[in-house]
Amino acid sequence: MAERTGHNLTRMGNIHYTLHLTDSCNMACKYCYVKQDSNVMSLETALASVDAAKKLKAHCGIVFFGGEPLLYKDLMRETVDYANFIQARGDARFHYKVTTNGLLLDEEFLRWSRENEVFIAISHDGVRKAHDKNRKDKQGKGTFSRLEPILEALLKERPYAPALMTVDPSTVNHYADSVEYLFRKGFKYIICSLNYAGDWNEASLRSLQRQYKRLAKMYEAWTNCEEKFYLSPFEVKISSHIRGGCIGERCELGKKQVSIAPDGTVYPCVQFVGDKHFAMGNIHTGINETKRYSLYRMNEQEKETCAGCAVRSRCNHFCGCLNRQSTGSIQNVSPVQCANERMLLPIADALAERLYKKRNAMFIQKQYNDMYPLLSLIEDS
Amino acid sequence: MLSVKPMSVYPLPAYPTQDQAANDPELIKTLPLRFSARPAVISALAALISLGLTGCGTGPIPEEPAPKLTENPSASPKQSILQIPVFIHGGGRGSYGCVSVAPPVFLSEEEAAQVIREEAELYGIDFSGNKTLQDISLPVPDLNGFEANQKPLPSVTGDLELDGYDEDSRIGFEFVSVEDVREWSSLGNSEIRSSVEVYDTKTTADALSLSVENTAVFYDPLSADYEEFKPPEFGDMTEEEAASAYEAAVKDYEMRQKEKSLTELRSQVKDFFEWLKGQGII
Repeated sequence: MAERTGHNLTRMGNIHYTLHLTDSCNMACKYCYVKQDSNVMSLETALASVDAAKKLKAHCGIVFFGGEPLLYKDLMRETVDYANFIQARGDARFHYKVTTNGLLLDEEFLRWSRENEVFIAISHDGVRKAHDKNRKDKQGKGTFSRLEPILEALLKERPYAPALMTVDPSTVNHYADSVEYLFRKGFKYIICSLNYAGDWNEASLRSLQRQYKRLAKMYEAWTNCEEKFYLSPFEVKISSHIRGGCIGERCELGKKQVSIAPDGTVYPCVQFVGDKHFAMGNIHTGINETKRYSLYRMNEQEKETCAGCAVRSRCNHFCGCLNRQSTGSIQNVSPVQCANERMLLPIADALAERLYKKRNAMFIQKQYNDMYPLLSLIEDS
Repeated sequence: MLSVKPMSVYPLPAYPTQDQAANDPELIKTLPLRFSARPAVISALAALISLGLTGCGTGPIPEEPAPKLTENPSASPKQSILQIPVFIHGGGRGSYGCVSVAPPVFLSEEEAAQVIREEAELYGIDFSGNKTLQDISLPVPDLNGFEANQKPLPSVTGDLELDGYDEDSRIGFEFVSVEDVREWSSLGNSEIRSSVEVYDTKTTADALSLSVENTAVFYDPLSADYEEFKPPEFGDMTEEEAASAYEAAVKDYEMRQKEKSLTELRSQVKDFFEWLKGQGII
């Protein structure tokens, strides 16, 4: 499907195909960046995406995204059936993931996801006060109560499901409580993102710093108790020192994943969907590799504002999505991101130093043993 | 107004990078207690180290990777400081009173000690000695609900008279019974009183094991499989006969649950001695 050009990022390694099955959603979260519409991906477009992924001859992720992808479960099932068929012939290797708000998760879907190894990530903001503040249904009602039994069913069937938590200035005071709530609920993978487009100011950032300090204490206590968990803000920052930068965490705009809009238009990342300026072709007619490469190069250029920064290799300032969300441009670094990095790094490093000094075995295995996830699975089994 | 502010200086963190850690082959052999209780994990780690897949130093492969065995250079091997994992056999959770329809069968300290001593003898260990551990962190479990017993449990500093101690190997044991859970729960500040009590012997044992050295911590498995209860067919029985038959069925159920708990406990103890053997201590 890739056009013949001098630059072909596809040859650079594995990429994931994120299929935006629909722009519509059964919720109306306050901070959502998706322009809701009634667009739905056709089966033909979904299967064309799988065919494009197949040609990579590599292990490829098929990610179902939205809007709310579970509004179109049948489309998802047919796409996975087709991909499994291709996989069974030995033509490609796929893994699947769906990101959902959870409201439409039911036993049947959970069983199907397990049987087909479709990984489920659920968006949830933690304690009721935080979750219901922004994650509302179309009637403006919080969804916390409705999700309570669903979370239990999800974790029973898929115990490694991650919780995706968004922290907004309006909920930052509940950050640590929310992480604790999700952890106690049974989530072992807690992925936290700031709403960079939110109305952050000095006061809310000070509050964020206090929450990070509380979270660091929780992280230390859980690690001392040999609990197994992944708490993204600290894991990413600690890893950035141990592994020498954020290399593994970078999406590299269009290099490791592309987004397919409902109409088949290809974009470099989820947050660009619908902005024709960033369109890189169509899944039916081919990806414009020249456009893709130029976007990638533009994003990779060192940002002038960060030239002299001592921690730029450990920082997420190169995330085009995030910069665009915050500043409107992929090249202008988000001041909120900068402030976040400046407060988080020393807290994460102090935490890691304490645990290393104690030669905490859980910390050492988790951070220094590449095979820790495998050992952990063996233990669980 | 927020703005981007580069950090001109940032101190180098005082924990190693992966490349630096590669110079310390022993680092990766530092095992969490929960891993070292699982032979499959130890075998897998040994294999991964030998294949150089762990990302850290690849020193000589120990026949039995030593989990968190800290040697005191001035001491003999038998004076090593051992942190002993809790070996998991049985759920170690139960509740009693009010709405608890399937109360667990508790093991007494004496019943448990008998099993532990019997197994110890097979490995040449004599647990008839006494020892008190001073100023250790005693877990404070909560009797008001399992939710309240999430790790980390609160703790208080206190002394612990071990249930048994072997002078020769300098290793002791503590069996976490329901009596212990009740006693330690009273060390906390909880003023909530409920008509139902919950006992989480396993979580309590986990917490205790992290604060003691050279001490094996076992726990009451608290078997309570109510589906195994076989109510009698009353048929034409008189009321008296029915009551007597029911009582016999309950006793039979309790006996079977107790046997189950004793078997689970014996498995905990066997795993411990096999682990100790692997450490070269016995």
